[in-house]
Amino acid sequence: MDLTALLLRVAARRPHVLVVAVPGATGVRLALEAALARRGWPVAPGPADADVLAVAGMPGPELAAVVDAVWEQVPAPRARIGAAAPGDVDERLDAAAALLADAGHQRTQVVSGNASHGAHIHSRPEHGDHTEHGDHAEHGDHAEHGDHAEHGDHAEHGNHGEHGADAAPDHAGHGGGHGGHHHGHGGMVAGLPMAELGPDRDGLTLDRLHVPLGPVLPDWPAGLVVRLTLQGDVIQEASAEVLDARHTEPYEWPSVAARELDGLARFLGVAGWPSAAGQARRLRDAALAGDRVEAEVGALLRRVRRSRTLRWLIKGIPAGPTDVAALLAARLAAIEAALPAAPRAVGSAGLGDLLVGAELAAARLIVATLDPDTDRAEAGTEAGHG
Amino acid sequence: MGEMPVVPDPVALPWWSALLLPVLLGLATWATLVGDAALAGGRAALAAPGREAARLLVGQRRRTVAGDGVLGRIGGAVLPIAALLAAAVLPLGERPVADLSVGVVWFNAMEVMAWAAVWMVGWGSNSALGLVGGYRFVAQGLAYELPHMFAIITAALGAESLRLTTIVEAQQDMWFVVIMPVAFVVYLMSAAAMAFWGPFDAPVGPDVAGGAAAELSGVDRLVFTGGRWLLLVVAAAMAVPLFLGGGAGPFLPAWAWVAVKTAAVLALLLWLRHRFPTVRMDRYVEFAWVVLIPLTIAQALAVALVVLGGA
Repeated sequence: MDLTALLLRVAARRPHVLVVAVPGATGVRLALEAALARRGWPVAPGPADADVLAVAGMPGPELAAVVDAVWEQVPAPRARIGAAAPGDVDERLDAAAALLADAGHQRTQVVSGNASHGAHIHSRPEHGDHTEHGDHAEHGDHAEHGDHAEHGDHAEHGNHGEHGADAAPDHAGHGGGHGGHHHGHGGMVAGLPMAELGPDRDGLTLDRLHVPLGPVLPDWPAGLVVRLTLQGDVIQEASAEVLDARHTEPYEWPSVAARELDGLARFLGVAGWPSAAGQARRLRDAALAGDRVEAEVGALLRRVRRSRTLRWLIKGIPAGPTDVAALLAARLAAIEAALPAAPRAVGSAGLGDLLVGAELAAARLIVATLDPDTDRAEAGTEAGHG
Repeated sequence: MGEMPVVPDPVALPWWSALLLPVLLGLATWATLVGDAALAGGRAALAAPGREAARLLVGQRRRTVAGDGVLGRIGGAVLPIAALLAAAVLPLGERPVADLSVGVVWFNAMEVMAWAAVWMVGWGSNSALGLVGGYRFVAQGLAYELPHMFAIITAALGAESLRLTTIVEAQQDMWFVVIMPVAFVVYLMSAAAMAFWGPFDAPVGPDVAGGAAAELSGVDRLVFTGGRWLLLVVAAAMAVPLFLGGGAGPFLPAWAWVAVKTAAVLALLLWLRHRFPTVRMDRYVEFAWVVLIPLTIAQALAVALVVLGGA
């Protein structure tokens, strides 16, 4: 009996899917999210937990490079799909599930994945054992021998001037980055530079860590990358950009209420309220399908407004002239009135400045509540320094 | 903990019960997972935990560059081990596997190991988001642990003993939840917090792409999340001897009452996550220290006066 094949088949019925949203291809993302909800497939928070890497839309060159880098980080068994149009989604997901259940494919795929992967490796000491790869799909526990998921390789690209003109977008990774994103001059460890030192807000000299947020991060605006300089989890410097900003055709929402509900769902996801976020997402899909959702939307708005805990958590987080709680209130009012949109920052202009001085968790809430429209972003980078 | 009683202890269960304990806890955890999947509205909730386990068993383990794999894996393994050791003093019915005279302190010590475990997993991955998750849990520990210790010590105070079987006996007339409601509520919150569950899941939150667990895959993720669920079940089960009269109840045998009460506490914890958004520690720590600690101290004082008056 082939136990691995059996386990693969069992697992393939409920794979975790990492969704990469492409700016402008919002319609595909919506179709993908709706399909996942219908199938009961969980959304993966990052590449480590993903079985399927699903790209919603046709990425431009910068985002495509990021997708390649993220794909390197997805552990086997894995499948990669791309949907160009909303209608493709179901077919591609079925194909991914079939691929995941195919033990023969998963075994060979790991080997070839590693071979092609070799091209990306520059000088990683731990990597190098290419001979033992064959059995990894069979014995997941042996996988530590320099398997392709032993990524971090792209982290090395980060050494060469992240802010420089030649900054390769692939080191944006899945928004976490591995320790390799430091800009250090204090020596190298395992081919990665050490963190550098700098004065913090209390006048102490602390490690500064360079961490890119996005573009592949749960409930994050499509294509947005915010490059942070962190001390602890306080943001010292931040600059925002949208990948492939010039390649984008803005998505025209068929319903204003659906657009606002989508923003609300992502905000609630970032705030860590999955049940309310799921409710908002269901109503968004219903609104897009043309159902009447007024009564249920009213119930959701009451639920969010009544939550004293949520208000306590987001009150007083500054977001420009106002705070996150006020922005959320404006958004809720916009949904209620089905009025044209709460005031929103177009693109990522000035976003970096707003994040300086915030803690990481607060920064996520600020971005989620501003919900910049990355479809209409101008190319370019704005830097904020604290 | 089968080898625990060097001097045979008449109150503890026989040694082989130690082998049964992981099985029992595993079953309880499985049932909890099914319940959680059903509550989340997922289809095929019965099969979901099995599919998830199969997925992680067959999944490839990964390593981040320059990560400390040994540290991370020890951290992951500490979680289920700490949960199992904590469960050793848990009366399964009338008797625990090991009826330690310092049962409450033992439970507390084992549960605190989770601090180290999560931090080690986060640090070991050499990933910024993993590290953020790891130190979020340390901050969370600082916030929930002191009120938590006052809460469990209040139950010990009410029974004038740190031995869990004695604490259960002391509740024959009245469950402690009646005379120490504040301690019970604080205990429930800290039970969720110690398993970084429900509104206290910031250390593994989606805003940092899974936080401490961001780089885990395959068996490593299975051990980490399994340990987390075990910890949640054990923390919920411990509320039963501390506040809910242990196995006391009509008609059913003691073990069945323990199971029923544990399931009720777990249901409450599952609902908590449904009801509240993630509580960030930069806000919660102030509430914990300014409100909860004085409240729990006042509760302990009130119970102490009752105990002294009754003596």
